[in-house]
Amino acid sequence: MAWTEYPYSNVWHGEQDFVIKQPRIEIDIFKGNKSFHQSAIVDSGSDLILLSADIAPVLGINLLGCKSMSVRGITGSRVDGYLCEIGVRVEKFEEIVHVLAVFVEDLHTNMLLGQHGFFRHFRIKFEQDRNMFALERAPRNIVNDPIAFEE
Amino acid sequence: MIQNKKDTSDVSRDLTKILNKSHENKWVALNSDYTEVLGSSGNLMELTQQILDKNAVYMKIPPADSVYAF
Repeated sequence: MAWTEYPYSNVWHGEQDFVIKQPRIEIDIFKGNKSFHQSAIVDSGSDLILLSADIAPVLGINLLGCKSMSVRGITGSRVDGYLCEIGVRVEKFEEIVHVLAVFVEDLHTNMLLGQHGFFRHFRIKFEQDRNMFALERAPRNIVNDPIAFEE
Repeated sequence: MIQNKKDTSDVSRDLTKILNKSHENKWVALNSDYTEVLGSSGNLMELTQQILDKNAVYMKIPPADSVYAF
């Protein structure tokens, strides 16, 4: 398998007046016959894939039918999340991967591609000095996987 | 859908040139080469119904006065 490269996105930090580089890729997410196209952040610090709850009605998802779970941010504040299965297709890849994702109320961004659900399916290299990061599809036979979730 | 759009993934994605304070805490729809904001709204469902460009890229824009550890 070959690495597929993506450029970092430049985002302005207003208060400090500097530019932050974010590893963003375009993602199609699917539920049934509905889809949504967005720019998402590759976030190794997130345990799971997190999505803004605003996206659920666009996909026709009733969050009350999803499994509820707690989500805590870096400051320890707790919010309610809703665990649902969705399809994900990554920019420059053809395959749709079915993953578990958590829809979160009041998420400041739209989508974070975290460890369970994304990093277990893709190998990722960050090379910000080249203004590039890269993805490679991981082998299907995942080993040493203690995750209790079923996909 | 990704497979039907022109491949602009290697172009610079400089959001500093198209996003500003007026977009904070809103959903935005960008054109596929990241050169234009097609629309913005606090309500994503309403925005998706307004935007006719099937290749639009959606994002939610956080306030720019903080750094984020998501």
